[in-house]
Amino acid sequence: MKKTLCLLIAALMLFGAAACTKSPKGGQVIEINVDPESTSGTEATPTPTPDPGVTETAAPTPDPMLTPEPTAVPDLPAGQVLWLNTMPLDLYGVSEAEAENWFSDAVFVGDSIMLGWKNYNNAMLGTNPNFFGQTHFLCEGSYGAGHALEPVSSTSLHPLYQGQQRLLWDSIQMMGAKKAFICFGLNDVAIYGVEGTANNFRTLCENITSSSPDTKIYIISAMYLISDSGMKKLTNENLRKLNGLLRGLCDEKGYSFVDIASHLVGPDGYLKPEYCSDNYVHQTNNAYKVWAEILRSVAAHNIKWGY
Amino acid sequence: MKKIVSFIALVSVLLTALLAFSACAKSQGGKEPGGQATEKTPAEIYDLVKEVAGFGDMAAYPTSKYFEEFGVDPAKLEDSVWYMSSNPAVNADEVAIFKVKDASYAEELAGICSSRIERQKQLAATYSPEEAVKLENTEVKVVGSWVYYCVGDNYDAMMDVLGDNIR
Repeated sequence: MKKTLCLLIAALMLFGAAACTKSPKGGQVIEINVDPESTSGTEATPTPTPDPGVTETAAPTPDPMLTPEPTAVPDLPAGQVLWLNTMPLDLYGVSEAEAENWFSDAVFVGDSIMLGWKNYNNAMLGTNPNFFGQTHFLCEGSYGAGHALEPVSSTSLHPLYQGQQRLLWDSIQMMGAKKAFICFGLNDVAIYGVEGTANNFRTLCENITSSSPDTKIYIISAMYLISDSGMKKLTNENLRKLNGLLRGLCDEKGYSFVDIASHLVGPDGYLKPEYCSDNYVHQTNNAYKVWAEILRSVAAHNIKWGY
Repeated sequence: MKKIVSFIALVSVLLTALLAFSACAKSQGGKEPGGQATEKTPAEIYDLVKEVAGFGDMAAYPTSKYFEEFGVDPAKLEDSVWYMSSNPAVNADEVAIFKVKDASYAEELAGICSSRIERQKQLAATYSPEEAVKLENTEVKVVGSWVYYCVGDNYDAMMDVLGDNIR
């Protein structure tokens, strides 16, 4: 009896000791990374898949000084044109890395469409830590040029900067951005109409240049819908009219107009299905590949001619 | 009678020993006898969460951007992951797992995360009631040096995985 009990005790002690040394999570020894530089926020980042269907939309022009010409699209209403304005980087003698690094002191300002561009950038940073010069963003869903003029409050939608809601021009001043790329319109036209939206753009840009006189303004075209929304004012026709007014504002004030929207539409002037993620207006990674191409071209043009 | 008492005493000792060994294995919190840590990293825990979450495409939020947007100081973090939906304009799915270097930063970080969730609720209310529902139950948890939360359809299952792996 005593022998049996001794054996039983010994067996239990061995079992207990084994339990003590076994890892509680499957027995694998995992070293904890204590290097703050390598906190693993970018691991397993989904990489946007390449789109073999994306092609350059404008024929290369031998003289990079030429101003891109508007391209008439037969199905658009009379008087409305698309502007296809990219040229290959090699025409400017600028590398892709140089062009992207030009955005390191830029900030992209906008709504959910810009939020998609931000997210595309974040995903690309997982595999290319210098993608677009680790550019900066001030954007929020449902935001617009009109919202940007509202005071900061518990219900306002101003993008966070360093954890606080701030007026855009204050955030831009704090970050010291030298280039502000602004893309709004979809959350504005239905509320303020075409002219009201353009006026809000004017006020916003003036506020930015007033607080940051060295910041150059680039207005990115308002984006088009995959089909008219059913809202009375939010139509592609009104968005094209808005883009016309914004182009005029740029001419008047010395800002630059960057037409991305025209590169994403079909012959009917509506957003191509392959660039639309929700059958409405939000865009796919393939659309943001087009954004990247156009923006690199804008950068190359500015680098080449010293703007 | 003496034998019965001895037997009961012996069984009691054995049960106590067994309980002690079992407690020993748990209380070491995943440490080897030599003191080497065996707890999972945030990235490993996120992988487990993903298995039960039913997420669509998710994108990692770069550590280098934590401060600029949210005011989260990466220098105070030992390790972290922060994943958001690849289509954040229409989907509120999100997982954040932080391990801070000094537990005194955990409460501040939890406050930042709570503000983030409140803001997401406000935004979701403007574009999607379904996404707003996902955010309703979301709570930020602080466990020692860990701060975490998640947003998604399978919230309870995700929180179970987080709770099981963060002690």
